Amino acid sequence: MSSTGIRIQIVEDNEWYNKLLVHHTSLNPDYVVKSFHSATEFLDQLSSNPDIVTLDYRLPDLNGVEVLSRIKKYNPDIQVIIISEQPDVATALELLKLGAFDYLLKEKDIRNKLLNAIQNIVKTIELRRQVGILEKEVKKKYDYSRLIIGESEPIMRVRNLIEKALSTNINVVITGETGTGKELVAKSIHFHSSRATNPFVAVNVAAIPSELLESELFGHEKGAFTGAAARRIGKFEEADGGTLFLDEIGEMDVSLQAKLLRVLQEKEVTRIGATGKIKINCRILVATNRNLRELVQQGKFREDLYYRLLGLPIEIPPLRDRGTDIFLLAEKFIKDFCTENGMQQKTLSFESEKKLLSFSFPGNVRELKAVTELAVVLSDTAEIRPGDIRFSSDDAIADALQEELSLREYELRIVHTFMKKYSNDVKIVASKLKIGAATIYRMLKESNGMTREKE
Amino acid sequence: MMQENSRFDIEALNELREGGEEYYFEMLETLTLSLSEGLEEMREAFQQKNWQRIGDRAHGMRGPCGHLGIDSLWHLLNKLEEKSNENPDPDEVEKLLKKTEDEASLVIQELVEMSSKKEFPNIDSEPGNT
Repeated sequence: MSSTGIRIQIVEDNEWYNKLLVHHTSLNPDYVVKSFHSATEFLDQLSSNPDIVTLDYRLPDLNGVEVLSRIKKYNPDIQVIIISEQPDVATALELLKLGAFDYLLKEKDIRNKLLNAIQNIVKTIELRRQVGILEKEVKKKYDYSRLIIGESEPIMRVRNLIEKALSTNINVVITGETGTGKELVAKSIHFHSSRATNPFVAVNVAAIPSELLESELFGHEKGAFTGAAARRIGKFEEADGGTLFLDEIGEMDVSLQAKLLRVLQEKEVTRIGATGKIKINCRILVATNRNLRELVQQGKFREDLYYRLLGLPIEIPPLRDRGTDIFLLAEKFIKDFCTENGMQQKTLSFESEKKLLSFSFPGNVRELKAVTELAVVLSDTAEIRPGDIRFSSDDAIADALQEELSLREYELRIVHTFMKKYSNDVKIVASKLKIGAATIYRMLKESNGMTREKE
Repeated sequence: MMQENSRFDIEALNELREGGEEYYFEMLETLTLSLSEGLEEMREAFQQKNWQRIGDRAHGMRGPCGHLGIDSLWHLLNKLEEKSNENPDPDEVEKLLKKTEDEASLVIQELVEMSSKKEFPNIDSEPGNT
C-alpha cells in the first residue's frame, strides 16, 4: 500500500467492461486506479507493483493462468481478482491454488462482489502491514546487539556465540546463574534465525510439576487421564516450525528425560492417550543454571540425552564478573524506568556507582534492574545517592559490608538487630547467636544500647 | 425514453445512470462502437475461416450483454462461441453469425436511439415497472 492509497490495476480487453470496472473502483477516493487492455501492456509495467489486480481470465494475448503466475512470481503479495465470463469450477480452483484472491463472474452484481473482494483485500493488506510492524518491533526488541548490553570481554564472547548460533539449527545449551538472561539469549537467537516468523515457545521445566510436564510437552487426548477434559496440543506441536526453549532442563525427572530423548531422536511426538505419531519440526534450545555434566556423573541426568542436547554452549557470565558493564546496565534501567513512568531522568552519583560495583548481585541482571528501579523511586533528587540503593534482605550482609566498619562494630550491630527482632529477649538472642547472655549484656552496655530484660 | 419492448434490463441501465449522465452516455456509445466493431471483426474472421477469432470475439462481446440483460444477443454470442470452438461447421457458423448480426443490429439501433435522445431511462414510465 502506497502513501497515496490502494493501487488497483484493471486488466480487461473489452473496452465497455474495462470502463465499467474502472468506474466502480474509482468511486472510492482511496483507490488509485489504472487500466490496461492486454496482458502484455500490463506485464510491461508490472514493476509499478500494484496492490490489487483485477484480471480478465481470457485476454487476447495470454490466458489468466499465465498472467497470474507471472504476477505471483514477481511479487506474491500482489492480490489478484480473476474476472471471468465462464463459471468453470476446475479453472477457478486452479487459479485459487495459484494464489488468486477471488474468482468473480461477469454478472449483473459484479459491482458489489468486486467492491467486497477489494475491501477484504484492503483489510488483509492492513493486517499484513501491522504484522510487519510488529515483527520489526519484536526483532528490534530482541536485537541482541542492542539488548545484551555491555562491553566486557565475557559478554562480547556471548554475543559472538549468539551470532554463530543464528546461521544453523545447531542445538544450543545456555548456562548461567539465575537472572543472567538465559531466556533473553534464547529469544535473541530465535528472533534472528530463519524460524523467526514461527512461534517461540518457552517451558520452565522447574516450574511445572513433574506429573504434568509430560502432558505439557507432548499434549494429550480427551480422557487420556483424570482431568483430561479435552484434547490439548503439547509445546512441541505448538512450536512447530519455530523454537522450543526448555529452561531449567537439569530439573527434569529422569523418566521424562527418556521420553524427551526419544522425541528428539525420532522427531515425532505421541500425545498421551493417542496412538498416532505427529511429526515435529522445532529447534531445541535448553538452559540450565546447573552443571549438566556433574548431574550426569551423579546419575541425575541421562548421559545419552546429555550428548543429544550437546551443541553450542553459551555460558552467560554472572554480573559480578562483568566489571563496569554494571554501569551501562544500570544507566539503561534507570533511563527506561524514568521514561516509562514519565519521571525526570536521573543519574548515579560516583559513590552510588562504587556501591553497585562492590556488590555481588547474586540475582544478577534481574536483581540490578530491581535495585536501580527502587533507587529511582527512593531518590529525591536528579542524582541517585548511595542511601537510595538498597539491596534485598538476603544480601543485607553484603550491603552492610559496604560500610567497612570494624569487626566489633559489626558484632554490635548484629546483636542490636537480633534484640530488635526478638523483642529484646536476651535469652532467645543468646541462644540464636550461640553466645552467653552475659556477653550480650556486655555488648549492649558497650554500645550504650537500651534494653529491657524480660525475665 | 426506452422502447416498449426494450432488449435491455431497466435495472442495469439504472445502475449505469447512477454513475452520472456523462458516464451513462459514454457507456452507451462505447457499447455501440464495441458491438459494431465486433460484428465487423467476426465477419472478416469468417471470410478468413478464422474460427478461433470468431469465438474469442463472441466471448468478449458477451460480457456487456450479460451485464445489461441483453439476453437474446448474449445467447446467440454464447452459441456462436461454442460452435466456433470445436470442429466448426462453416454453414452452421454462418447461419449463427447472420442471426447474431441481425439481433445485434436491433440492439445497436436501440442504443443509438437512447444516445441520440440524450434522456435518462425513466423506471416509472416503463411497462411492468410499478
